[in-house]
Amino acid sequence: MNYVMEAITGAFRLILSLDPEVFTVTLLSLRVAVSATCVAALLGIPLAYVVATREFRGKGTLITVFNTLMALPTVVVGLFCYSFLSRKGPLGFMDLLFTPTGIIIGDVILAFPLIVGLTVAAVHSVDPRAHATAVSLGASRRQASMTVLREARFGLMAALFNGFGRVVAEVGSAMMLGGNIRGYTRTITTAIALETSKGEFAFAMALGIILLTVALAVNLLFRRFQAAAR
Amino acid sequence: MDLFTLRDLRVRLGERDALDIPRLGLEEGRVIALTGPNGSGKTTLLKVLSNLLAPTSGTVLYRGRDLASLPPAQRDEVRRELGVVLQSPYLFRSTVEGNVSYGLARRGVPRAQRRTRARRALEIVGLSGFGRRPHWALSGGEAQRVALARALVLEPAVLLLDEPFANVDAVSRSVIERVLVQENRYQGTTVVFTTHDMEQAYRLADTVVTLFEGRVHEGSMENLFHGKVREGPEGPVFDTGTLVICVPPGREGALTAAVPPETILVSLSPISTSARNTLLGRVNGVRERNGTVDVTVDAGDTIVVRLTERSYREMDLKLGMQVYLIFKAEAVKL
Repeated sequence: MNYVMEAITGAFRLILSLDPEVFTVTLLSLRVAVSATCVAALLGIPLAYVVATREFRGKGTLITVFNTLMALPTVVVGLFCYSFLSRKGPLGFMDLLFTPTGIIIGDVILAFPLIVGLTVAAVHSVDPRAHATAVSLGASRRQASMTVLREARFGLMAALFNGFGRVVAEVGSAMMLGGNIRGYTRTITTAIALETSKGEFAFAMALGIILLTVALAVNLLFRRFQAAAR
Repeated sequence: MDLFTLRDLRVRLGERDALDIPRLGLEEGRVIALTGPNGSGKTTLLKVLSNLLAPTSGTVLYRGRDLASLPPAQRDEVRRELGVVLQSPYLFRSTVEGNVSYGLARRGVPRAQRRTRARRALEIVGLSGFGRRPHWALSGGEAQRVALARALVLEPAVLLLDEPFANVDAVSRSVIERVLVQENRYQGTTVVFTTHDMEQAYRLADTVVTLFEGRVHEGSMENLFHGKVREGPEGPVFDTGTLVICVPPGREGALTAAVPPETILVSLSPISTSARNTLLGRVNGVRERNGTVDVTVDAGDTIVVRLTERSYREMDLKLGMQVYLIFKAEAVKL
């Protein structure tokens, strides 16, 4: 018990003293998660809109596939990307393995199906009259689509925050693709795994607390947004 | 000049013809009511006119131009002359002002100007000071008026409204009626609206287009019967199951028949006449409408007869009285 308390007090000391190591790791984690979420959203939201609003053969199957991929294990994504990015892999020439970009690629693949799946559901939940109303008021096709997405903004935000939550907290893919290189590809989660195995509980605990705080902040932001957007 | 010209218009929805209109012109600068019972195609026609539904075949000309054949950019341009209010309007998740200025924003009107124009439009529909209200804090009638303001603010050449008076409180209804008439009179806006209320249609509109089973029905919708033409002992008759009336020859396939209320004579005793239809019935309703009196008679089916106030008074008709209805076979429209 004593030593848990020691770890916690040590964690706060590290956070309050703005320990450069803790700071670097946190910054990288946020940078990677934000970039991956943005890229996945830019690719996923338009695709989800098309899937949700068009009728085509295999639509149901496609949605099921995305919903299944939401639970894609992070190590599987790590493994898959590793085989592509490693020296011998087809994309080996790009030298992306063990770089922050490598981690982002894995995270995009993790966040993408989540964002697509939740966005499809969000667009489905918009009243079909929204599109007709937009068109009847002179909106072009593009403007009408944007209006429907805006009407779906609760669900859209949920998709983004969930995507962000998934990638900021995952460790498997970041470990395999980033390699946990200190000061370069070490993220909060990979650092926690390493420090714990080294017995540096205070440091691991500090990072754990920061991660939870990030999750809390994101949630609070989401709640506020929902209240404002009502 | 006709604002809308329809030619050989057909709209199929699923298995049935929702609309089948060989020819129809709607004149510019008028108030036009589209009426008819539920499922008669009035909403479908309004959607076709609003460019929200493409006809299965045939053409819709707007100011002589076929919108379907225009390139998309030009079509959008023309479409923006139309102000459309759909049935049970959808309000965007925004404030009232956000809703009213929606179309202006899509047209690139600067923010300050949007605000002033939205305020003016809200004033017209009697909702000054509602601008900041959220979309969900409105009654049905208020929502309908916001939707009307949202179309008015665009200063359209035509206002197209689907059942603007359905599910609306009395105050909102009179506001909407007033606004439609004013827009038509002072702005020259052509107003096209659907309603199932015949009386309202005749009161507000210069032109009433009555639809029945997807077709334009000549004359009014009163005394409209479903049935079949068959051969009777003295020529063709129209049989509704409860009523048999003599009809002019040559329209064997007809499924509906209408008897204009003005063409029916009422008599308290049977009279000998060249008219082939004499029906015995009982008066079960009397209604006054500007200068004339509508008497409804149960003669197997309910039949409306339109009398002048004077002849109504002279005949001294009372509820429950037995009367004879007399009309020519030629008066029946098949």
